[in-house]
Amino acid sequence: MTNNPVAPPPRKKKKKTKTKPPSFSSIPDDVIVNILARISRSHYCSLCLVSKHFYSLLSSPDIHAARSLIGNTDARLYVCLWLPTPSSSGNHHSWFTLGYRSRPYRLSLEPVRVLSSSYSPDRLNSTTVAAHSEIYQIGGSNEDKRTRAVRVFDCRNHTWRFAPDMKVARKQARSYFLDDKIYVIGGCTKTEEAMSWGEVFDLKTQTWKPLPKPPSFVDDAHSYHYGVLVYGGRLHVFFMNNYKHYAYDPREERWLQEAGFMGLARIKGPWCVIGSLIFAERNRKYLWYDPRNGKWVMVYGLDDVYRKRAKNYRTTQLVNHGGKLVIIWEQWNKTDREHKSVQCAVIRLDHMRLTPSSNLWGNVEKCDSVLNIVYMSYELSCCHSVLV
Amino acid sequence: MENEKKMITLKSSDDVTFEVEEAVVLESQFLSHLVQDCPAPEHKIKEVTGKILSKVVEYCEKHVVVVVDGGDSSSSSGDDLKKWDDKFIKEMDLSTVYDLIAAANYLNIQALLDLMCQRVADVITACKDHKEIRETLGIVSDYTAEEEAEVLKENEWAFD
Repeated sequence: MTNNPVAPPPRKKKKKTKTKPPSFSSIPDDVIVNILARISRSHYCSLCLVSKHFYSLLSSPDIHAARSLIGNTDARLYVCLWLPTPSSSGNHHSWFTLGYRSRPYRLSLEPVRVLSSSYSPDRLNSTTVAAHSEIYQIGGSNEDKRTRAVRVFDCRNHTWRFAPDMKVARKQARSYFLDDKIYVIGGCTKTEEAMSWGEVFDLKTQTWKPLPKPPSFVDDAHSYHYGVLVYGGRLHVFFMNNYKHYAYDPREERWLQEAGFMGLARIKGPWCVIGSLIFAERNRKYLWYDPRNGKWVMVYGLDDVYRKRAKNYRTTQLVNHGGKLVIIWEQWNKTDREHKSVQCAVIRLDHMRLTPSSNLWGNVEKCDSVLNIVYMSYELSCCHSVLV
Repeated sequence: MENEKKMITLKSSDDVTFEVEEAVVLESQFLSHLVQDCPAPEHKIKEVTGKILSKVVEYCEKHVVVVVDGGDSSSSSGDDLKKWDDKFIKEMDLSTVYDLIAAANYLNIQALLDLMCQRVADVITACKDHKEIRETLGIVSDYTAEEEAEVLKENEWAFD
């Protein structure tokens, strides 16, 4: 995590304590931060209640820096929604984190309080990708003009910062994180695409480099119908129309034609990779796919989810959340044409080490409505599992 | 003379002396600067008592990187060292831990400081609620009942 210009590690303050008997109150703040950063987030509520001093230390950016220094980080789910702005005709982006409310104990989306001093971009059609404890918001459009701009949201202290611009302006591009590099694909004009189909941002050097096209990309009609995923340490691109599949190896820096992933070509909705398996939805059921044998198999144990799901629904996100499968879907009632609700299920997966014949069981830990009523015009812009 | 290990004497605030190898002293950034800047045979450490300094010396002697004949630098293997650390802190009372935190912070021995911080963190984690944390650490709450209710409301949800 050398790329993050986060707060420097806690400063050493030398405090003389020799005259007083040893007590907790004699410990300097930077050492208390070192202590608190070692405690799981699930204790934060109790810790905040101990004293105002604890509360202020737990609200400071130092605690986040100390946690990443120690390596005591948890996966946290960040969701960006495109919501109607009250008393205006427009929409705006709002960030939320998925948490558990204790009374009643249920999943809920809590608004992220972005530090007001930091710049919060409100662009349309940008692409976002999580890298360690940050979310990169790349390109997009500002009053119909494509942008090269890259903004970074630091989830440890909830501030925005700038990152170097891309070489080409892009909107509705796709982005992926692999091997400390961010891969951005597409989203530019056809002419530009010939030269710079994609770009790679190296977090270590903070520089952009062009990403070449897969070999037969130009020849393919409707070549924009392609799927991309990061799997097995490589970036895979497969085309829906001709079933060609290429894998980009970051070390070799070139595309190789491959076979496999053909089972994904017919998937319309979202998918995610957990371990060596790919999860997606087919025929109203959630399934896993093993690219090594090309088979789709049902995830067992999800009856709770199917029972709670309304007849009219759409799966919007599948996310690998620290090894758990998070399913987010929206649903609506035929009688109410103006509103939807957003539902979320957190599923622990058992037996991730599978033999070809074994079953995969999902243990539904939580399944709740996270937004009870939202206008039809809302959109779930993105959802990322971030380490903080 | 070259092969002979250089010995340094440390004297605590209450005049307890410890004769240690130079390598042991180098575990402390504070002491290594002191030894370099002032090549006296004996160094008085006014901030640390004999009881605590003996613990510090014990820790540093265990953790010092020993250069063996082959030129390989190795300390006790990682697992053994971890076991030793666990034993070192296991039965230590909190007031000794606080003293060692102060000493490690003053002498600038990061690994010892981290170990002690982990010990306090474990003690806090074992508490069942904020009241028990206050009691264990001897902290007096400065919240009014209203403020406490507000903090509780604000933080009643935990991160996933």
